[in-house]
Amino acid sequence: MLSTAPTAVLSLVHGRTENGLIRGAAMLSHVRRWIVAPLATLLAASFVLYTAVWLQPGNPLTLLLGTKASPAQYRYLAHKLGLDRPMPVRYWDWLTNAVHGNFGTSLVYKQSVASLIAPRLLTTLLLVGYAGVIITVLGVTLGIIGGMSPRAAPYTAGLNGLGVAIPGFVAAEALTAVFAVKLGWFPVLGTGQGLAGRLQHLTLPAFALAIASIAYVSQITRAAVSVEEQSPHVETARGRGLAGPRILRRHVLRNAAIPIMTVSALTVAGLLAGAIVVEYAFGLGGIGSLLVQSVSDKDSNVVLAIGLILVLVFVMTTTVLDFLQHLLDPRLRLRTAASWH
Amino acid sequence: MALTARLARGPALLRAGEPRDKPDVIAVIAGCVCAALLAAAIFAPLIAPYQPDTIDATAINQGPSAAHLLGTDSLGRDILTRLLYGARLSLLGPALVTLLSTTLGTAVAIAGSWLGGTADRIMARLLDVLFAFPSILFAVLAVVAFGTGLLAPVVALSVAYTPYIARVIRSAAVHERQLPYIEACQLLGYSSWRTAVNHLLRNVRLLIVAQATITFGYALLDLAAISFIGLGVQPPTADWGVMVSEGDSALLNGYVAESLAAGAAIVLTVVAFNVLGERLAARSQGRQ
Amino acid sequence: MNRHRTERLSRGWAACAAVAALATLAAACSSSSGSATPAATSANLVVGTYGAAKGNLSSLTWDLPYGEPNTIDPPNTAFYNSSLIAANLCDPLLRLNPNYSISPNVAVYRQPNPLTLVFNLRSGVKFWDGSPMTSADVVWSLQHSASPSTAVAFLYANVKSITATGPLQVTVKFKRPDSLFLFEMATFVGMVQEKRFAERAGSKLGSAAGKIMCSGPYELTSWTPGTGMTLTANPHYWSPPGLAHSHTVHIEFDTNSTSIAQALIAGQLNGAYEISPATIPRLRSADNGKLIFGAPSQLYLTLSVARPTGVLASPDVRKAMFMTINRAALAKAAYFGAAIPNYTQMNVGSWKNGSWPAAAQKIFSTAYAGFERQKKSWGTPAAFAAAKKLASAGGYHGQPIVLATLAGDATLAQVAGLIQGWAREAGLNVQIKPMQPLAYSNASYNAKYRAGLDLLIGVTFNNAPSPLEPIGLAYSPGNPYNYTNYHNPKVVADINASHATSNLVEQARLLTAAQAIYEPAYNSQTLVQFNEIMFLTNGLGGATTSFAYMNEPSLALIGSAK
Repeated sequence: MLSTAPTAVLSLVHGRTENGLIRGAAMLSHVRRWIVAPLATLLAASFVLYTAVWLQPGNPLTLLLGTKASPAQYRYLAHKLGLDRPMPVRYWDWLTNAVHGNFGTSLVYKQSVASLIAPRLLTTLLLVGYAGVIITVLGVTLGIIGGMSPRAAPYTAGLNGLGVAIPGFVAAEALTAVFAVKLGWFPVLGTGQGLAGRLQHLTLPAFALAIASIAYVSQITRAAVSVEEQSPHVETARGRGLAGPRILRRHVLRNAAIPIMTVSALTVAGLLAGAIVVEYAFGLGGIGSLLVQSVSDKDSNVVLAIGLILVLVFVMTTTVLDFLQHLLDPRLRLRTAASWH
Repeated sequence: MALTARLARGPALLRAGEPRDKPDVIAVIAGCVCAALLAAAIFAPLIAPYQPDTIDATAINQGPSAAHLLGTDSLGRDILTRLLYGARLSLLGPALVTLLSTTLGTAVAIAGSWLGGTADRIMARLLDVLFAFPSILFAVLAVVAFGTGLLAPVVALSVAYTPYIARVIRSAAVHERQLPYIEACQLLGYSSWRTAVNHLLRNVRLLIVAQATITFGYALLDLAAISFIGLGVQPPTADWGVMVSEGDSALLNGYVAESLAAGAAIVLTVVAFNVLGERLAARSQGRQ
Repeated sequence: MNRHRTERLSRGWAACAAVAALATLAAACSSSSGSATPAATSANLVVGTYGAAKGNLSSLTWDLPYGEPNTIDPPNTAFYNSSLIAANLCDPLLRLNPNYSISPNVAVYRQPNPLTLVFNLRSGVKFWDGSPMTSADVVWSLQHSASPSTAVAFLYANVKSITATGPLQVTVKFKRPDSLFLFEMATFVGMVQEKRFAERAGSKLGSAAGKIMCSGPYELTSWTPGTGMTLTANPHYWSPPGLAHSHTVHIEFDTNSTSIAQALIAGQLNGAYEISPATIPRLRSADNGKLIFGAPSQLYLTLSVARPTGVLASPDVRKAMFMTINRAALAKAAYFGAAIPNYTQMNVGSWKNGSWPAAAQKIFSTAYAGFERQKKSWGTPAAFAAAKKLASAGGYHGQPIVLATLAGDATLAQVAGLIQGWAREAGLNVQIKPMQPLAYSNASYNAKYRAGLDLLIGVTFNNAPSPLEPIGLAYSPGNPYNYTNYHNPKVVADINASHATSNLVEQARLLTAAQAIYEPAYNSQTLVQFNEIMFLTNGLGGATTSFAYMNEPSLALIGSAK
C-alpha cells in the first residue's frame, strides 16, 4: 500500500515544478525523464538484486559436488560454471542473458528457469488481474457511494479504515475459515482446469489480495468525488435543476476519473508484491509462491529471475503512469487545484 | 492513503470554525489502545497465564475454556499467552523500522530541501532506485543475503520506507523553507544547521510524528507477512505473523482461534496506529 | 466540516465493531474439544481393496501429496510420488500381489540353482511406440538399474552378470545367493524400459523434457512442470485384466495438506494416497467421498540422525535426544489414533505379518519387548531430567540441533513441534528446518542435501514385508541410506547372512542379533507406525487401499463402482 499513494500524489507535485522549462529543452527532458531515468533506475535496481543474491551464504558447489570432492575438483567446476570471475563480471553476464530471456537453470528442478516461470506467471497474472477488476469495481463503487451519500459515508469510512489494516494473509485465513471451511463454497487447490475452473480457484485468493486495496481506492475515490461534488460547477448545475445522476455522470465522474485511474493502476502494480504472500497462503502455483520456495531452497537463479520481473513491472508501471499524468497535465493542473487541495 | 492526499494540500485550506483546542476523543481512544498494546507487550510475562513455549500433547487444539481463554494450538500451547508474548516481537520490529526510517527519511528530506540543486537531485535518484522495489521484495532480498530472523527484514524495511517518508517530509520542508520566517532566521545570522533543526524541523515535527505512526502500521503488516511466509521470525518463537501461519492447518479442521486471534491482533494494532496518525496529521494540517 | 468529524467518529466505531465481530466469529467457529475424535479402530480398516471397479471412467483426477516427481526413471523412483507414476507407466518383470506374494508379470522366472535366475519374457508385449519388448531391453533396464548412480544400485550387489540368453530370455547370475532379489524384481527396481529410447534420451531420461518409454497400462502424454501431468490409457496393453479403467488421468502436484483436503471435499480431486493425518478430522466428515485406512501397511515415521558429524556425533547426546520423545503421546496427538507407537528402528509391521512363521515372530517379539520396556518411559519428566544430564555428559552445551521436515505437511510440522517442545524440557535446543518437497526428497538419499542437518523426520515405507530391506539399506557401508556411515562388521555379516538364507527363523535370529548391536547406537528410530491413508470420491471403486499400491498400476485399477 505504501508503495502507491505517495508516488501518485507526489508525482503531481513533481509535475508542477517541471512546467517551468522552456519548450525546446522540454523534449530532451522528457526523453530523460521517461526513458533514460527509468532505465538507469532499472539497471541500478538489478545490481542491488544481484548483490543480495550474491551475498547469500552457502556454496552451490557443495550441492553439486558433495563434501568429499578435492580442492582441484572444486576449482575446476568453479571455473567451468564461471563462478571464479569477479562479481561485476558475473552480474553483467547474468543481466545480458536475462535481457535475452535466458535466466539460467534451476539448482533444484534442474530445468531452465524460464520454463519454470512461464506457466506460473500466467497464474499470477490471472490472480492479479482478477484482483484488479475486483478492486476497481468495488473500490470505485464504494467510494462513489461514500462520496455522494452523506448517510452512507460514515459506514464506508469505517470500512475503509478497517480494510486498509487487513493484510493479504489475514484476509486469506479469514476468508478460508468462512467461505471454504464453514460454507464450503470455494475450493483451494492450485490452479484448476480450464478458464472457469481457474477463476473459481482464484476467487478467494483474489479477494484476499484485493481487500486492503479496495479500501484504499475507495478512500481516494470518495475524496475525489466528494470534493468534486462541492466544486462550483457542480453547485451551479444543481442550482439549474439538473438531476442527481446526471451530475454524477457528466461532471463529477469524468473529472474525478483521472486520479482514480492513476491510483487504481498503481495499486495493481503493488498487487504483484502482495501476490507473494497470498499465493503462499493459498498454495497457488504462481511466481510469488515460487519465489518463497526458491529463497527457502537457495535456488539463486530463480530468485534473481522473479526479483527482476517484479522490479521491472514496478518501474514500468510507475513510469507509464507518470507519463500519462503528464500528458493530461494541463487539465490536471486545474483539477489538481480542485481535487487534491 | 487519504493521509498523504491531505498532506499534499497547501496551507490555503483553513477549516472554518474548527475548534483547535477541543480534545479529540477518537485520537485519545486510539492512543489508549496503542498504549495498551505496548503495555501488554512489555508486561507479558506478568500478565500471561502460561509460558509461551510449553507444549502439552494432551491438550491439542482445544477451544476457549476457563483454563485457556482463547484455547490451545496444535501443540497444546495457550493461545492467549502466545498472543501476549507475540506482541513483543510483533511490536518491536515495527518500532525499530519506524525509528530508523523516520530518522533517515527526515534527515534526507531536510538535507535535500535545504541544500537543493545537485545534492537534492542525486538523493532523488538514489531514492528512485529504492522506489523500484516493493517493500516486501526488499525484505525478502535481505533475508536471501543475511538469513532469516527479525534483523534482516527490519533493516531492509527501514531502508525501503525511507524514500516514502523522505518525499512526504521533503515536500512539506520545501514549502516551509520558502516561508518568510526562514529568511528571517538567515538574516539574523543563524547557521544553516540551527535554522534547519531548530526552526524548520520543529515546524514539521507533528507531520513527522504523524508519518511515523502510519509507518508503524505498514511495518507491522510487512513484517508479519515476512514471518508468515517463513522468512522472518521462526517458529516456535511467538509472533503474530508466525501464529497466523501456524494456525493454518488447525483452521482447516475448524479450529480457527490461533490464526484469527493473531490476525485480529494485527488488524487492531494497525487500525489504532492509523487512526492516531491521521488525527495527528489533521492537527498538523490545521496548525499550518 | 462537521461531516468530517462525524465520519471519523463512525470510522472509529465501525472499526471497533468489526474487530468485535471477528472475535465473535473466532469464538463461534472453534470446536469445543480438540481431541475427541474417534480413533481409527479396526472396524475402519479396509484390507486390500476398496469396492469394485464395475465400469469405466472418462477421466480421473489424482493428487500427489509429495509434489511433482523429480524423475520418473524407474530405478530412481524410490519415493511416493515418483513411484506411483512409474508403477502406472512401466512394467516390472514380476508382479507383487497385495499379500506380498510374487506372480509373473512380463516375465516368468525359474531358479535352476541358488546362484542363477532365468527370466522368460512374455511374447507380444509392446512399448507405447509399438516396438516389441525384447531381452535387450530387459538387460539394458536391469543394468541401468544396477549402475552406481542410481538409488537402488546396492540391491544388485550380489549380482555377477546379466545377459540375454535368447531373444526373449535373460539370465542373471549371482556371486552369492540373494533372497531379496526376486522380490525386488517385482518393484520399481525391476521395471523394463525401451533401450533405444532411453539411450537417445540420455541424461534427460525421466525428466519432463525427456520423459520415458515403457509398456504399462498408462502412457505419459503430457508433463507440464509445476502444474501437472496427463496419463492416457494404453489401448494395446498386453494384460486385459490390468487395462486402465479410466481413459485419462490428470495428476496434480499440490503438496499442501490443507488445500488437498479442501480439494477432495469440493470434488476437485477424485482421490489421493498419503493423505496427511492432520486432515483426518476434516476428511472423515466429508460426505462426497470416503477416508480409508488400508492394511496391511508398511508405513512408519522415522527420526534419523542425518550425518556422522555435528552435534549428534556423540552417542550420549543422540540417546538423550531420543529420550525426550514420548512415542505414545505422538501416536495419539498427531495421528488421531490412527497410529501405534514403535520402540525400535524396525517397524513392528515388518515382522508381525503373515509372511513370517510363528517361530520367527516369537524371536522378533521377545527382542522387541526388551526395547519397549526400556523406552516406554521416555518423554516423561523423569526422562527429561536424565536426558539433560546425559547430554551434558556427552559434551552438549546448547548447540542447535537442526531437525529437517517437509514443508507444507501439517502432520510433520506438528510432530516436529512436539519433538522440539519436549527436547526443550531436557535443555536440548532443536531448530526446525522445513524443506521444500524437492530438496527434502533429495535429502532422503543424497548426503549433499543433508549438509547442516542433524535430524531428518519423515514417513518411510518398506517395499517388502521384511526388516531385511530397511536394515540392509541403513547398515550397509557406503549405502546412501546409511546416513551416519555406521560400520560394524558383525552387523554387516549378520545382514549378509540373512540375505543368503531362505530359512526365515534363521533370518529372524540373525536380524535380532544385529539389532542388539545397532540399536544402542541410535542411528535411527521408528517412532510410530500407521496405516495407509487414502481418500476416494463416492462412486469409484477398485482402489488398492494398502501400501501395496506402490507396486501396482494403482490408477488403472480404479473405475466406476456402478
